[in-house]
Amino acid sequence: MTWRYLSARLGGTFATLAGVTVIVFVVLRALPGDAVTARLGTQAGVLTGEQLAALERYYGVDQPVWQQFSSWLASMLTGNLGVSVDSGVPVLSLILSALPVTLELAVLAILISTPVGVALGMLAASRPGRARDVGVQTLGLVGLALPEFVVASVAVAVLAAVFSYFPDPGSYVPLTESVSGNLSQMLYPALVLSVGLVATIMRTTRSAFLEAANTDFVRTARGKGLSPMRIRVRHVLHNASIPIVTIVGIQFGYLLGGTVIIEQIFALPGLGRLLLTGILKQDYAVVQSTVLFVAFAFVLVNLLVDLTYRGLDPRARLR
Amino acid sequence: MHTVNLRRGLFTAFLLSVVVLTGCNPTSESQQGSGGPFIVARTADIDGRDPAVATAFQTLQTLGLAYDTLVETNDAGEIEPSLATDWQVSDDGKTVTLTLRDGVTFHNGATFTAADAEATIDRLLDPKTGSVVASNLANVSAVRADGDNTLVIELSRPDTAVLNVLALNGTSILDEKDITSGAVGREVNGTGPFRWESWQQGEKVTLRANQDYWGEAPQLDTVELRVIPDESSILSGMRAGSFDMGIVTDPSVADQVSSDDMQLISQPTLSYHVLQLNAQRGPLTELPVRQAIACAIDREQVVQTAYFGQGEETGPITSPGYDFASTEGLPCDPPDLDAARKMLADAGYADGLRLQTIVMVGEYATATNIAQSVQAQLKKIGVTLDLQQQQINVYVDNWLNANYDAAVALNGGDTDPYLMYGRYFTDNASLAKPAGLSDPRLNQLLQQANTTTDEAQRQQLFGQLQQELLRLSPWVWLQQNQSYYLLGNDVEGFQAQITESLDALADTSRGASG
Repeated sequence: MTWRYLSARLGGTFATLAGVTVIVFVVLRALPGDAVTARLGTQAGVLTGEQLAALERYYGVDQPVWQQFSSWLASMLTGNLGVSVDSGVPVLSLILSALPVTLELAVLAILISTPVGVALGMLAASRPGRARDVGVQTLGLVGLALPEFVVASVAVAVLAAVFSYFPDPGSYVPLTESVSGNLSQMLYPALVLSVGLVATIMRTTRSAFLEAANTDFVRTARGKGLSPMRIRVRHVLHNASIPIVTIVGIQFGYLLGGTVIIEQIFALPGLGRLLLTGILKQDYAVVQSTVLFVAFAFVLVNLLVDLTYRGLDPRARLR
Repeated sequence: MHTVNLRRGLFTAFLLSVVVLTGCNPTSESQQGSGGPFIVARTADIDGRDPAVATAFQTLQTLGLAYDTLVETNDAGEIEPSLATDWQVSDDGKTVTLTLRDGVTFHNGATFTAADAEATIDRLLDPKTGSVVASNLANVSAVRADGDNTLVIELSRPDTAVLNVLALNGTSILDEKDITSGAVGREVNGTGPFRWESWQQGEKVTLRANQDYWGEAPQLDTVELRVIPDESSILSGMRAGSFDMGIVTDPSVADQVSSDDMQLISQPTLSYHVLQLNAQRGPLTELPVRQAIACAIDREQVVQTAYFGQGEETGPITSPGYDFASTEGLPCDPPDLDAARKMLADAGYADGLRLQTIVMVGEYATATNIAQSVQAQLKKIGVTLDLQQQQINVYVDNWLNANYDAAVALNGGDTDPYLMYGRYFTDNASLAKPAGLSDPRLNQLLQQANTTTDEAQRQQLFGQLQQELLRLSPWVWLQQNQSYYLLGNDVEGFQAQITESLDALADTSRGASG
């Protein structure tokens, strides 16, 4: 049973990744211009035909598109993610140096937003329709409606004025080197990311809670005379945890590729910045490999969430 | 009761943790005190280490600190010695002989000789290099080292601007051995005032003073050029005292600087904002139509809208040393809407016309403001600009193929007028398509001025060129671009340059107050 489930999931994963590969490749090629014009801008116009040909050969865009695709795929399958034509650095090492930043950002944002979101959701669900519910829900709506870049820009302005903080990739240090130095750069962007996440998690928690609170076993528990807190934590939260875990998992996967704006505004050298710079420079190898990497991570996280889900909910194992 | 307490406890704990966490007030270890590195914040990283193929000005200004050129241009636009101490142009104008400086060494210790200069120029001319500088050296037929200290450049025709080309960062002198070994672009080994220490891509470039520099060694020991993508963040960092210098281009950011916090230098650059008209298309092929458009645009108002009134209106030529009236030659001076309407009506466009107009967005802050200001003004004479905002790749593609009626452009300038417009308005010019207009008179003036070394004659010819360009109105020139340098209050000796060069960092120091 589990075997069949796993192999079906893996097959789906593979199909998804193959689809992503093709789409990214095609979309990149469909953009106007190429690595040469992306780099030289209007000055590309002063190059002679011979010079252009030499540059196109260097950037690998002189070959037919299908040939570019097959050679990229072939090297990909052997674990070679290509070389950034912009900097001459292997893409794998670019990704490996950017990954910890994005990963840490995502983990921090989840660590902050999950307890807060769940707590707020419980608070709202404890008196549905009353003032605190309306209050929390309104906050949630605001949190969802505020675009990330607005929150981030305002946050930077305020933090600069109050805490003398400003985004500076030059002072980014890995967590392993200095915990406080690292957190001083990472905490604010993680907090900003959390605004939308808290709202999402809060709303999911609230509705899951309300649903679970209206079930027979809760009424029974109340009838047995259990304390309201015990009912909420032992019975309601436990049963409401499945949609919460699902939403947190999905959000985490999304964060791995969804921190582009935050990384740009807070000047963090993560996957989002890598991707954005790659697109602007039409650095094909960087974009293709990074997108594929992010897609792979996303699919992997989803798979893990599904497996957790099956662990949490005995009913899911039967399906 | 129990529940309430627990809940309150949890909430307090959360609040406390937030307070504690946000209270971790970040302090950058690097700044403060004159011992730390001198930190320059700017919006973009360098995009390579090979000066010959660099086009981004961040790259050029950075490599310019580590490399030297044969000559330099000063603020007045005159050629000054650098690695070459002296130069002679033969009477027929076809041979340039440069005497090179003695006792100059590369950062790796190798001695600089004429062979290095020869190899550098040969590399630029090699099509395989793909250097944009090559088009400016098109008249060079041969380069040869004559002994260790003399470089001879043979030209197929007189080309006065060639000395200005030798002052461009793109012609930075490389070590011949690096060229043959292919190390150029992977290592930075120049003769400049700063040595290359490291490049952390997307983060910073670190340079150290070259104590063996042939000129005066820099006072700053270490310079860090950091990438802060957002200009407001650069301003915040300057306010917090974490940077020594910030380079921004958005006038609305510069506008927020108060003089207590920092010093502000507003420096016009060689590049210029212009409304390019495509004289190959539709109504714009007719001179009166282009002139009507030129008559209707009030540059002063564009400067007000986009630059809060700072900055200067400009004519075609921004090269220092060629300071001509910015409006002389224009069909109307000052702007005259009635005259413009009449010209349009006489040309048969009394009902107005529409122009498909491309605007590059995302590269410079003022693009949209300038486009909208020009759009609003032309509306008054019935000329409708259909603005198409395009990302750089889309824009460049359309621009190179002249796929537009009009383009709101920020074009690069040069220290020599021929270098600015030879590539647009001469016969067989490489950028003839986006130039839009081909005119024998423009070609003649440009060629003539570039053939003579007589400065008075050049002044006169380029003056005529400017008037002709304004009269023919292939484009409508608006104003010079601006760069803003934010400097810490303790920074001394830095001079902004029209070329956007940062070479003055070699003369910069931090006072005791830092």
